[in-house]
Amino acid sequence: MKPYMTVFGAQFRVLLQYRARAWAGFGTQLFWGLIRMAIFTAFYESSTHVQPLSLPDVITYLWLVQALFALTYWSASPEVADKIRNGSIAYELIRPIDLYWYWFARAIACRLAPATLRSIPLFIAAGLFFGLKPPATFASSLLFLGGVASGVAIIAALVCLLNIALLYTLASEGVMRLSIPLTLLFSGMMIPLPLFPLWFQPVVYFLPFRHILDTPIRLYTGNISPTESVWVFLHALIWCVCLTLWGRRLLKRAVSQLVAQGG
Amino acid sequence: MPQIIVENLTKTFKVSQRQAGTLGAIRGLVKRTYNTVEALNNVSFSLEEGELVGYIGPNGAGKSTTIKTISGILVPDSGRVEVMGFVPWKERSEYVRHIGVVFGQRTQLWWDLPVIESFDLLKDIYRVSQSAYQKTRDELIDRLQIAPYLDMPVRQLSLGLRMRCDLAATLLHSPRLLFLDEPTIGLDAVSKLAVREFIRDLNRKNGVTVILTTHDMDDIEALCSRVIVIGKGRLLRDGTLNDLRETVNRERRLRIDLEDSEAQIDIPSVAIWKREGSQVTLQFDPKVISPAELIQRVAAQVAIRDLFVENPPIEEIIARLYEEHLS
Repeated sequence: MKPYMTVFGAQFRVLLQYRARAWAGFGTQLFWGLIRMAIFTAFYESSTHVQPLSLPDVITYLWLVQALFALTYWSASPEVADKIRNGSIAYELIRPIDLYWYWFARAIACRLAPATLRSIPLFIAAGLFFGLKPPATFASSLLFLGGVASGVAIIAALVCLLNIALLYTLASEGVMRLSIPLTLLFSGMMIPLPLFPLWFQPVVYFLPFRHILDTPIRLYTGNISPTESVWVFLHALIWCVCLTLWGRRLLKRAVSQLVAQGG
Repeated sequence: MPQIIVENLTKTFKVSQRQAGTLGAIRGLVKRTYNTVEALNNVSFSLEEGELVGYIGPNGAGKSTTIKTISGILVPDSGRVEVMGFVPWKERSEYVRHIGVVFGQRTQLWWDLPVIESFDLLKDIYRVSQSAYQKTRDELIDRLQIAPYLDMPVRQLSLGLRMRCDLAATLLHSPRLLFLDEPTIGLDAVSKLAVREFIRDLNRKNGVTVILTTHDMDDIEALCSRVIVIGKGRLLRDGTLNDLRETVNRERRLRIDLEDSEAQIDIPSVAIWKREGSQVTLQFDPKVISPAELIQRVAAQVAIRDLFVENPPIEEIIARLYEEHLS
């Protein structure tokens, strides 16, 4: 376990250096948060239907999306992508460690470090001025943290899959074009998942992407009750195991037929 | 028993061929043709513990492929490799604890972290005990003279410094076997000498087995008693540097500085290799005419200001070897 913790720590420290990026990220998230707040307020005021989420709940949902935005992934790990393209991946293969968990640990650090820097100020700003409600109960705040942890695990497994795709294709754009819209749509980033049409919800709730944002957010607001959360966590765990096993199998195969680039 | 046994190692790569230009790219979408490149073809050799071997060959000869196969990164098509009792690609994670590899063109240090943090990271990755780590690390820092740069981020180091730090990083877990893939590439003269001296010490004092690939023949001449030459994936020669000289090109050269730049030298079986003003270089085979006899004869014909006997540079020998085998 220790090597992986060290790798995590090192990557985390590297990313904490980027303070300017954190402030820029904070500004962007705040800006988009305000715009989305305005859009959803307009929707709610012009609609006579009773919505599955009240407007204050939606607004809290939106701010939590903004706060956790930095957790979501947009590509394979840039460092890993560089290494695969220029052949330094060779160095990773002569280490007495498990490459999958090594990448996994780095992916977690890559998601957590910027998120830590950005989300705390955003929580404070949105909580004080823009209608972000506090967690429903003390229990739901703990469940929220658990939800974030399972979300990060799923993200790391997905990032690893993208890394592995790079080993097969060198250009993971195709795989990324496929996975990113799925994440965007089915994590709750664009539209809160409870607002999806009823007939489509089984699909949305079956997919793993919901655990990236929707699960922790609705644990926070109490929309998923503590008793329900057991099943949600189980669902996340099963996905996590499946994605990991799949990734490990693909990686094993990729490494055995590897061609190191560039002499 | 040898430390490294390589028998009939063969590896081919499939390379997709694409015609140039837009039309070629479009054609490639529909139909791809593959070329099979034989990176290694029946390569066999063995190494005893404590040897320092130069592994040389032109670009694309299969040097890096060999290193990558022996270090467990690539899986060969056929052949046997056994290093310290391990089959590298099968028992990789256990095996790689005992070896160190430096790829001269890439770095293993974390680009954005201070050098020392990369070292600490490697300590944990290789699970080196704190006391052993401190001892090895301090010794390496001292021998490579990198103490002043340990707190600098790697991206700010010069190439020569980076290579010294990379060497230290590779040796933190005290490997018994070291692969160096072009460790002096792109280095200035001072750094080259420092790296060379370090490698020599490591081999002589610590008994570490070293396999060195390089295009710099000075590296080979300075370090290696034994050289293995490959070309187009085949083993061309395996022997001492002197053997190589003997079989490929026995000839030696006599460089003479003449008093009179117009003077003529004429000795049977000896050719004038080069003439520039008062500088004349003769080429001769010491088995036909001994250097002492040649000098005597030359002295009888012309007035000599200065002279010395030299071996043809190793580059020339290697170049001739490549030409013979690859044309």
